[in-house]
Amino acid sequence: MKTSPPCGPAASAPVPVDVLYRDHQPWLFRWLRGRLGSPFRAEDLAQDVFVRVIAGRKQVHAAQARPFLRTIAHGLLLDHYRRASLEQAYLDYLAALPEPRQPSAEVRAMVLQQIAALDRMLAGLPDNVRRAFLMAQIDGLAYAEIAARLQVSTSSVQQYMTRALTACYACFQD
Amino acid sequence: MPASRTDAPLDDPVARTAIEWWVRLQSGQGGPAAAEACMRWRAADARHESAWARLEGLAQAMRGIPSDFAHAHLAGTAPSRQRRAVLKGLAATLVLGGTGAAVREWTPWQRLFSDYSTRVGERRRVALPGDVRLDLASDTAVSAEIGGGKRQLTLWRGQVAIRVQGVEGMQPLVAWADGGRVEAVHARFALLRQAAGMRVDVYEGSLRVVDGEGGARLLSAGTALYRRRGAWREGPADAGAGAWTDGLLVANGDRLDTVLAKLARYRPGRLSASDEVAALPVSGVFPLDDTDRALAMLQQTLPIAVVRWGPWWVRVESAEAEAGAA
Repeated sequence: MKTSPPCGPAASAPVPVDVLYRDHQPWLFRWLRGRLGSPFRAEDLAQDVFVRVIAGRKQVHAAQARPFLRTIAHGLLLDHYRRASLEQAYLDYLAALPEPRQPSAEVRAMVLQQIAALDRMLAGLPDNVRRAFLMAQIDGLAYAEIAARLQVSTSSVQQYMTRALTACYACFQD
Repeated sequence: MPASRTDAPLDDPVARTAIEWWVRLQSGQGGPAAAEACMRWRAADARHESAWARLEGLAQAMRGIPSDFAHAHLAGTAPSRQRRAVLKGLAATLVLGGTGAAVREWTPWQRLFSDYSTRVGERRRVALPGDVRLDLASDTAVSAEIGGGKRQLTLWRGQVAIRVQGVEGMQPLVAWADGGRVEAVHARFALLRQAAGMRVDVYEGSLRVVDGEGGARLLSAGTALYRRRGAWREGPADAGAGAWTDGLLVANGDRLDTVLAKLARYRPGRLSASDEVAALPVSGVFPLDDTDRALAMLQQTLPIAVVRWGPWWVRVESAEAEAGAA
């Protein structure tokens, strides 16, 4: 598939991705199916694990392959649950809206995607950073107002915004 | 789509600069000069413009997310939030999984203690139990606590029109704003909270207003009470003020700067008037949901020029001054 880049001294040779896939996809699939219940979702997620490995250009050595793949799979599983719980929350939110405010199916799908993307982008940021960011970008509040609500200085709000925008900028690729 | 979880500084200096501009403009620092300088920076290099476009794309995508949903679900506690959210989600599924209806009943935003808010440019109508109807103006936040012997609202920000239909002897609805409170059994009224103080306009029925120091007074239909620099004043209710619930701004010989201040509540960024035109009298009906159109309508009937520096900075000047400068 791709030529291996030069690497440092290694006890064992890195395993090419196709070999990794052949050797490890079956147990990974079973492991995921056991947690998800659905074979289709498990297949998708197992696929995503290898996409991560390829995208990350990580060198995987045979001895570490299992724990390495399981760590990635675990992260994806959390993302999956988080997304499913957000999706349910959004559906419940919509169910509580009166009829005239119900968005169309297209808008729902789009908003759901945006919610999931934003959630990923904000993951790991401190509370105040997230709150400030939501207040500025979604509510359109002035920085002074955000500062007052969070009981911090305006210059802190600027720092929060810079931090949140930086995190989002790196993730946001249409 | 790869999702990096790091929030390490960007190694792309163009991106860093774009973010600096964004924060500077959004914070209102530097005024029109900064907005102009940012435009020059964007125009100087295609990479600048494309970094800026990425931020605008992000802002655009976020605008579709309902504010109350975002604050309830995306603002949560940080580091181990993901893990805990998963656990909570699983627990909820286990306990309530079999009964879809029960899940719906107990979702947080349906609890009677809840928060409602609108973004800039958005209006929203909310019906609460006990024949209480709220109309939230742009950029408004209200929380409500109704049930369990309580009928309370708090206006945290912005403007809300309240209609409460009750009968004599019923427990009054209490609306708090800025330390004072309004008690109403059967009335239609509007509460406004702004930096300068608060204001109550009564359109139907009557209210009891209790200020932060405990002083109470009765207010009847057609009157307004407002506080400016700590002192309460009474006056006639603003006749056109209720029109915003229909998305309209009614001006009847009002000063241009007053009209612009009302429009400004419906758009992000700054909207201001120069001294020469601030006092021009304005009459007409303007759409609140399309403030650009409202500005265009003003421009057609008044000797003014609408000058824009980027998306957040709009200044209304005398048409002559603008022509002289051009």
